[in-house]
Amino acid sequence: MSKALKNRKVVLQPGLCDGCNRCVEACEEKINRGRNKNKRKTALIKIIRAGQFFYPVICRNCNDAPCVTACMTGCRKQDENGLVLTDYERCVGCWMCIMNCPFGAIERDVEDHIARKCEGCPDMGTAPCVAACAAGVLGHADTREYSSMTRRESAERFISGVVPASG
Amino acid sequence: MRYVIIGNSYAGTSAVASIREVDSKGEVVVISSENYRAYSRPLISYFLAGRIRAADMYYRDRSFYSKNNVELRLGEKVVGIDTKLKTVQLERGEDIDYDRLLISTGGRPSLQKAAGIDAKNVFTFTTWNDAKKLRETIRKKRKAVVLGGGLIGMKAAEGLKANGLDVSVVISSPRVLSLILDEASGKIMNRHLISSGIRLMTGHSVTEVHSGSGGEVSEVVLDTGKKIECGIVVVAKGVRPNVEFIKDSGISLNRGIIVDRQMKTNIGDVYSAGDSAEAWDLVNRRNSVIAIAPLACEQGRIAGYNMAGVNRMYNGGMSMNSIELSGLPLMAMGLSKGSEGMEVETFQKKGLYRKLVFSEDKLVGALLVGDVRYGGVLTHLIKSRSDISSIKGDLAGHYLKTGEFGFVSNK
Ligand SMILES: Cc1cc2nc3c(=O)[nH]c(=O)nc-3n(C[C@H](O)[C@H](O)[C@H](O)COP(=O)(O)OP(=O)(O)OC[C@H]3O[C@@H](n4cnc5c(N)ncnc54)[C@H](O)[C@@H]3O)c2cc1C
Repeated sequence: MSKALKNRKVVLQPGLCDGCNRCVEACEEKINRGRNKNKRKTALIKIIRAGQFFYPVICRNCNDAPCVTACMTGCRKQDENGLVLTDYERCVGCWMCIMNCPFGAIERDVEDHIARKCEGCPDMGTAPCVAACAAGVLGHADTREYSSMTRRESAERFISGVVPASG
Repeated sequence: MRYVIIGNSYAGTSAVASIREVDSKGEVVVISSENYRAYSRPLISYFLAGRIRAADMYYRDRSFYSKNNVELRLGEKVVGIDTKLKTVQLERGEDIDYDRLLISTGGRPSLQKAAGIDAKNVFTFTTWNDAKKLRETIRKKRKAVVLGGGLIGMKAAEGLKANGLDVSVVISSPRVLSLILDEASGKIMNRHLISSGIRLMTGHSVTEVHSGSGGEVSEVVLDTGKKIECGIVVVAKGVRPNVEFIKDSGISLNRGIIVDRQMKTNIGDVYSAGDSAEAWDLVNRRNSVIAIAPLACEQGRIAGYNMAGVNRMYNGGMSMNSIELSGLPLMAMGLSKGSEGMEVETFQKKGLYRKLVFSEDKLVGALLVGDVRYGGVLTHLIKSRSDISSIKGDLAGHYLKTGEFGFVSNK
């Protein structure tokens, strides 16, 4: 893997999302490739709607990631580039990470009994969700460019001015 | 600089990591009475159930200690601390000097008072060795009684049940997990556990333990006089800070070791973190012992930075737990039961229960049973003490009705 690839992750600019859902479909298509029809998994990106606004929900690779601190098995770690990566072989499905992710970006996979999240598709040049996004919300950035400040701010925005989703 | 860390678990190893981020030269000594490199304590029930292999018990890689240049002293028990001479006394008789000391000795099981409780095959359930001893014994026994219906008791019960044993749990309160569950959620959980084949004896306690040939436990006697035959007893009456050995050291103790926001004790150069410490509780607005793994990590990390001379403040923690029993998940965060004068919102549907607890304009607790999605959003709302007055009213059922939580800013 090239250095550039190793350091890149999926980033987003929430304000621009128009809710077209293509990222979700692209993610679903990739993770279900070769999978039995009745064993399909849900996408690791979701779009949630709040009034007039759409928000993509996906792992943000937080600084001092709360899901890593909460992981009791040690199967989820943050590498030197800030990427939050999971060894699913060792995940036992205790859901401690789900209880600590402020974005709601971790899925409880009941069937495999693991806590799944976006791992950034390091096996691909461009992640399918990024390739599918026409609105320019999703992109790739070098982990070092996308500062912790940006992430903190978005976490605050995501959470603090809370409003009900619909009516 | 010589850092000595007593305890080789979540708090201790997190401190090692942050010390080494700052100071690559100082000596780091880690002492542990247990003879294992750091392992995941909560996984002992999975190990007992046979759901994971021994190799998957480890919390840190084997290389963790060499990479961080740690002198690891396993199987050594600390019996005293001299804060004037700055030494730690090992049971074997050796004294170890420190410049900065971290006490992260975790918790130890509270014991049950009952005649005959020292019979053979009566166990506690907090260490890997406990789980190993139980695994050996269950091969020869068919019936087990667990004393206590808290997290550890129920996890032990589940692990025993997975081995095909007949399991009864004696619980003094009317429901399992009574510290975090209210009446409605307790009913759901009780019913679920009973249907999965675990016998619950709620509202009872054990007064006597009888043993048969060779001193092995043969039955327990309830307060009603009723006898339950069993070959194994697990005592799970909670844990308390493991701090006996510092009694004469001058370090301030309440339930746990009292620490400030830098995880410092009242004695210079002595820190504490994890289940042994009594640190800032941001929901109850005072110091308290909150014995959970994420806080042990966070406190250990903060302690490590401060020990190495970098000023970092602990934001405070709150009690929270995510527990799945026989396939039914539940999360309890903050003041999940609520208390007098607090507003409560609940939402209930077949097998599902969500409850939110408010104090003034803040969310202070949450309880989710059956569906735990977006639990972290609620945790963040509690932790950040956000003003949620604009969304109070229909929060508990919101996610379930609309298919989304909708905790999104449109600012
Ligand atoms: C069955 C079970 C299930 C649990 N489930 C969960 C869960 O789902 N989620 C969660 O967050 N938490 C859970 N916990 C609690 C969690 O395990 C603790 O909060 C966590 O282990 C605390 O970490 P610590 O580093 O403070 O101390 P501990 O993990 O208790 O480790 C203490 C260390 O100190 C050493 N030590 C102790 N005394 C001495 C001495 N005198 N001399 C030398 N060394 C000593 C020990 O050997 C050990 O290395 C569970 C606990 C149990 C037992």
